[in-house]
Amino acid sequence: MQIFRGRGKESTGALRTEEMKALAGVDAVQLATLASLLSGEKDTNGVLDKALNWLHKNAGSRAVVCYRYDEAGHTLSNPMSAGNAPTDLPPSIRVGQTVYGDVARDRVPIFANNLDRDPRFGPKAENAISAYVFPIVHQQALYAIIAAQSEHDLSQEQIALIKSATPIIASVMGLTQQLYDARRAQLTFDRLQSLAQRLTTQLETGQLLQDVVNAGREMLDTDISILLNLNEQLGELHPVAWSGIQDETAKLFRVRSRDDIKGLVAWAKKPARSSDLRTDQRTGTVSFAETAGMISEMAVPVMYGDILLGILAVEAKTFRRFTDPEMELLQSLASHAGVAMRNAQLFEDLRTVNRKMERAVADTTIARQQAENARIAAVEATRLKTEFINNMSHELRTPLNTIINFTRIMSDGHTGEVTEQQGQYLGFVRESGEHLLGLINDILDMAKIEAGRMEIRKEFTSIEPILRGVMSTAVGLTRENNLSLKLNIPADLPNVEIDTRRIRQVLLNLVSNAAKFTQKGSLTLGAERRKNQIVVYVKDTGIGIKPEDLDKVFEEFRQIDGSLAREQTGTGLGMPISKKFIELHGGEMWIQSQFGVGTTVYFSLPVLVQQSSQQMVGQQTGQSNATATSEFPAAEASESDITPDTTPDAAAV
Amino acid sequence: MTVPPAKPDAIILLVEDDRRNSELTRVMLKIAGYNNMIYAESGKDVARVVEPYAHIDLVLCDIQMPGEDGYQLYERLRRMPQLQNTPIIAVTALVMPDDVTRVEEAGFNGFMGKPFNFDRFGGQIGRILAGESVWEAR
Repeated sequence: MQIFRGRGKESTGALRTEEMKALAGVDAVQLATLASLLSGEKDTNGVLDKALNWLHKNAGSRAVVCYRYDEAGHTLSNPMSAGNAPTDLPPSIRVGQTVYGDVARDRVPIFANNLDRDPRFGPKAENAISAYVFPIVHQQALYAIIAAQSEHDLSQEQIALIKSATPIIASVMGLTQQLYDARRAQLTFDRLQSLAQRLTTQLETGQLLQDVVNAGREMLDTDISILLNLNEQLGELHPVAWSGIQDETAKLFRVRSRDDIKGLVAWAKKPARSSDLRTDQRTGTVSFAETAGMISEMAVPVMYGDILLGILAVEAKTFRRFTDPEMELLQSLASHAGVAMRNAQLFEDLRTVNRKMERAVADTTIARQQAENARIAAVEATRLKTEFINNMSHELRTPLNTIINFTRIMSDGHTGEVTEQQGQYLGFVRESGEHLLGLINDILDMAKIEAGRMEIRKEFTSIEPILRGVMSTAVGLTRENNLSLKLNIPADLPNVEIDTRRIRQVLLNLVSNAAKFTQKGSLTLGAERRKNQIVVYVKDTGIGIKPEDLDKVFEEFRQIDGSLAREQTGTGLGMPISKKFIELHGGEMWIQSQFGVGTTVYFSLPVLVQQSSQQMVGQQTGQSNATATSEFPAAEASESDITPDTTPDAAAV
Repeated sequence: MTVPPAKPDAIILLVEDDRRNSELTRVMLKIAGYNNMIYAESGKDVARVVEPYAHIDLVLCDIQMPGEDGYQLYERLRRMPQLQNTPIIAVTALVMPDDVTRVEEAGFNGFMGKPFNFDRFGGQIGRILAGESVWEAR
């Protein structure tokens, strides 16, 4: 057995003389034909195919076998052949295995003969006894290993021809690869540009991810492109967009283990590529891609920051050495997908928030609608109540007109003499009628106040004449109990803006209440200035109010529960109405009382502080001073006692 | 009732559906010194009641009446030749501010709410006949 293994310079040196002779005989035309033949190919596989055929025909090779070098897997794979090559070529040969593997490792050609007896030579064509095995290297890159095999010993001329062809094949391979890369780079650039445009304008995530996948398949010229999403709960990857796969197949596809390039990428969060899945030691027996007839694959993780969102993979039916720029391209696409998937996630979150907000808004709208309905119902209820009260008022007033006035006509003697008892009874009928009328009036006032329709006609005036007028009325009210009446008005009481009729109504109510609940002692009506308001009070020495009952005084239809109070007539509306009137003037009403000792009801009225009113105050004060001294000599501190006899006629009020 | 009648001979037309109230008005007018009250129970009677007179000095007209109400009647009264320049006063138990406003908007010349104030009644009639305006709801 003679195996000549050319190693380095020693082997080439031994052959030099013979080689030189052989090289001299190399047909330049043949080599030129090879160069033009190869340069027409678009990819390296095509170049190799042409080169193998040329070697078979021109270099006396019975068979030519070629293996591509897979850098990533560090193996020889993707066997190709020309001539009578064995049909059962092993799919891959590891570097260092067999003579082919030695050449791949050392990148130095080997001439071998007596192949029959060389166990390390293979794959070997039938009947081949010699072979020239050489690497295709261009610019330090190993592309392939070619083994030209012959049934005879290869001649020096044949070997010389192969040697001359080798750099041509290598350079065309290299150039083709570079051209291919350049073309792809240009294509990639163009497509990246248009993709970037599409991605920035594409708002629909599903379509955007499909664009990414389509771009991956087109730009990397692969058969399949697929984007998988990581479902963390299930711990599996499932497809979200794909190209080159039947939808039915894609939808069922899941990646769960590391037994697959995709799984490996997801696990390591690092890109991976395989030029030949059939021989790749990292993957399991049969990967999904292999089942689908794919040979090469490249996959990159789709990340958002440190978070793995999924993976993007491209697969080809052919042996493919995915280059670094190609991987960078796929990573660039993956980063687009990452942003899109992240956005989709955020958008989904936002949509959830939106839905919640919409629901909240809807709830608010319903609540508002309900509130509006309630308001409408309340307005309608108020309207019906007002209508009812108005009707009731009309229906009661009509008979009261005859009751009150006919009794007056009769008791005045217009229908003839009445006896004392008849006169007394007619008086009772009239008083009862007037009480009923008072009740109706109070109810009308309350209804008006509640409906916000109580009008106050204010005028800028002194309250003093009103106080004096009410005092005169009080004389009549207190005559029975012989109460001592006091009026206490200071000289400098400023003018106020009041509805004189309403204030008089309030004061009459307070005074009549005080008279009603006071059996003995005194009743005082007074006023004083306190800062920007005047405070008017009605003070009695009556039964008083228990502290727990004080708040009830201003409640509607409420009379304090007491034996004396129950004997007293009244609508129970007087105090609440009075309080409302004072509040409509911008004032307040309050009560101080000591049970068994007496009660004082106060109300305040705001004093307008402005130049004109100050002047008016001065004028009015002067007048009232004069009046006060003449009629009721009430000084600021002293209270003046008046007796019923000295007061003017009550009817004049 | 010390106020002397302004025009004791004044022809006063009362339109009132309630006979008790019309009788009361008649008596109160009489006490006030006005004896010439003529009376129509409804708008339908007005033309017949007014027919014998050349001129009516005052109309007291109820508002809430069955059939033709006071507002509708006012329009007809105003067109009657005997009622040219005659004050037409609403006498009604509808005394809410809305009612007063409506009466005013209908064109009435005054308002006297029911129940009448016995002490002021004569004076009010006298003022109206003297050409003054009276708007007293209650």
